[in-house]
Amino acid sequence: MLKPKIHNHIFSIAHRNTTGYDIPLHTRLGTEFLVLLIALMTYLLLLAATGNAGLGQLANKWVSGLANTMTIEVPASDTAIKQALSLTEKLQQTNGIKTAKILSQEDMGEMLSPWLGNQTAVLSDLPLPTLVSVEMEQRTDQLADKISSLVRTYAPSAIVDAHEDWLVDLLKLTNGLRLTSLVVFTLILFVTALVIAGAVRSRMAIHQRELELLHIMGASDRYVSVQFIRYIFSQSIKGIFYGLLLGVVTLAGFAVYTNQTSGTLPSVHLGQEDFLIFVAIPLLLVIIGTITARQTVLSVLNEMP
Amino acid sequence: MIKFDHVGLRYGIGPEVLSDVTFTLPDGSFHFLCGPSGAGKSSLMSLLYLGRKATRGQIHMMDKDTGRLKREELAGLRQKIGVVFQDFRLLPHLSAFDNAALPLRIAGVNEKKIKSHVEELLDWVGLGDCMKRLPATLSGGQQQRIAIARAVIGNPKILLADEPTGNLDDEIGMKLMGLFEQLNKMGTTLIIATHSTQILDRLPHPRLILNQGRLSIVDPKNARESEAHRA
Repeated sequence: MLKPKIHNHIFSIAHRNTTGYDIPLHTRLGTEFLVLLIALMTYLLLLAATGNAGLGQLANKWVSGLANTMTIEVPASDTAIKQALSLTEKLQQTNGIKTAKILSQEDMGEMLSPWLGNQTAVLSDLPLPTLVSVEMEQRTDQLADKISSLVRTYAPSAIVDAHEDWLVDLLKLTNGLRLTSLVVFTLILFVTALVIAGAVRSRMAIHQRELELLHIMGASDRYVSVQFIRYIFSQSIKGIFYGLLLGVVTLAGFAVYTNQTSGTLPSVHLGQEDFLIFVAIPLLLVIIGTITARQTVLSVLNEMP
Repeated sequence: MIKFDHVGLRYGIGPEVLSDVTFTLPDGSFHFLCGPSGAGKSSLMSLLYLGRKATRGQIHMMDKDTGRLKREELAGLRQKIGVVFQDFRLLPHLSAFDNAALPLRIAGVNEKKIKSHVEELLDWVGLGDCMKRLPATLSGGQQQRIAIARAVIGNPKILLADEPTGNLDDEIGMKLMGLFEQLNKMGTTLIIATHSTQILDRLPHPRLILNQGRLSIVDPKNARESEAHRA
């Protein structure tokens, strides 16, 4: 039973025209142009998507770094150190607080080094506040209220900085950038669909005679559209491959370049799940390409009797 | 049966190229379509192979009102109509084999059957050794024979041919007409547009004569001219 099946299969390949297209879609100039456009769109989509994901990772890093911390600023006075010590002691005994410590002269020096340089000796001459850094296990409103209450009791003049304003602004900025990249991503997809629809329409105009012939011979709309879908699919695969290649090289170059910075800026990395982008974008492009090709062909064929 | 009922055709807002065409052709009939250039033969052919819609009137083919059929049904009906074009309309990138096989592939016939049918038919029309050649490498006569093979490969119920013997020598031309006669005897309805007096003289089939968009039928057997089946 198997032998005739294999024979039929081999025969059908051997006798079918080499491309399988009744309409010679592959033979005209302009095929490379479509591949190039899809490659460019893939590249731009990849940059927009990875940019979005990278910003997301950066925002998460910032949020997780700041969300569970507080800084308590005890204004400079004769009793500042004493107040800070009692407060730190009480904070350390409080449930839900991971660490509470007074920032050392070295820590302060490091924080102020952008303005004062390495001259830590001058710090003792300045009326600097005493800073208590608090790290919570998990930030909750109750815990924040408890800390505020302890501050009011043991260091009434101290100011609590929960980093909320900074955090909110930072998130607004990153969310705005992510939204922008999402809009860009959507626009690129839309333009890709337009480009494919245009390419299909132009191919249909070029091959009007062949289309009419197939139509007269009784080819169904599906029969014709399948040929265009196959054509767009094959061109998309080529374009996606080149676009991905270029995108990966660009991202690798970016990663190498940013790893060489001094470390004052946070580094941008993709999370494990973000690598799904490299699968999702080709899939999305193929789906959009084939659906657009199909709909365009059907709408043009619909104008035939 | 092919039935045209007060059919008119115009292109855009121009004048009617076919006007009030009414006729009935029974199943298995054989007609020649004649008329001077510009009389509307190509337009009538395009209505017959369902390449256009009539601007008025009704066309019934194989007992179906073509104006009421859905797109898929029309495609199915077209598969039962074979057409030989005057300019062949072969697909230049396909081999002789693939050109002839096209109607079968459109109809979804399996490749094994396609192989045997196409090889047999191309052998019959004398192109058994040209199956892998592209149309551009074949003579006009050979191309025409592929076009004919393509039109008859699907065993159509209706066969339309526009000057099918135009590029053939007399011997092959008459052999081809013999094939058409054979198909007709098997029940295929034939309409052949021709100017060939040789063919018209030898084969006494009724003639659809178009003149300035109007149609009449002449049957040489009884030399009677009538307005064909006018209602």
